[in-house]
Amino acid sequence: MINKRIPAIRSIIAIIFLVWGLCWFLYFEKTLVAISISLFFIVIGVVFSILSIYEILRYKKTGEARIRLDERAELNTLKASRNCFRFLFASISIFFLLLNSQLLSGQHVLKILLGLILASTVILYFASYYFYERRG
Amino acid sequence: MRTRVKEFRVKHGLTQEELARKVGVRRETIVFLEKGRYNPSLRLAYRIAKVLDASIEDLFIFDENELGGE
Repeated sequence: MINKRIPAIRSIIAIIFLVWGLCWFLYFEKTLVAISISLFFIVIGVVFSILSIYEILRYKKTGEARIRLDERAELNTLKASRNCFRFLFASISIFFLLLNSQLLSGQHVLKILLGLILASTVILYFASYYFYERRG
Repeated sequence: MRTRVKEFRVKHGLTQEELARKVGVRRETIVFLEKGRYNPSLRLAYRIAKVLDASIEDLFIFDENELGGE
């Protein structure tokens, strides 16, 4: 049953990434970093959109959803999420420390957390998931 | 953990892909399972045992030392 929901879940993820990328593109200054981050999120959003459209079409045509998520994949997803949580927790702690010691302004911290750190977390998630998938 | 999943699968003339479809997992999971690199949940072990017409104890062999406990 859960596998039939995968295209829908993927569509939601795609929309989230696209909105995030557009927010970065429209609301922040057009610096190289801001444009790179927005492009990064938009590219991920587009990739997920194409994959979900492909899956939906395939499901409508054959009535069969390819098994993409099973207990091992779910376990690996959880392990990858745990790594991301630790990374985010450590990053937020470090940036709070820098904020409190007045080495960085609040605006800078927010920008770094919403941009670089979030992008790194996304990369870390996919890298961790791939690593655990390869390991078994 | 040692497994005899491959042996029973071959005996039933099933490919990894076919077994994976029957028990509702990806082929990769069967690959790692046959190599003994993945410990399945009780639910998955039961489903595999049912498809392969064997008992869980026949398919998955644990070493006493590996199990630990008392």
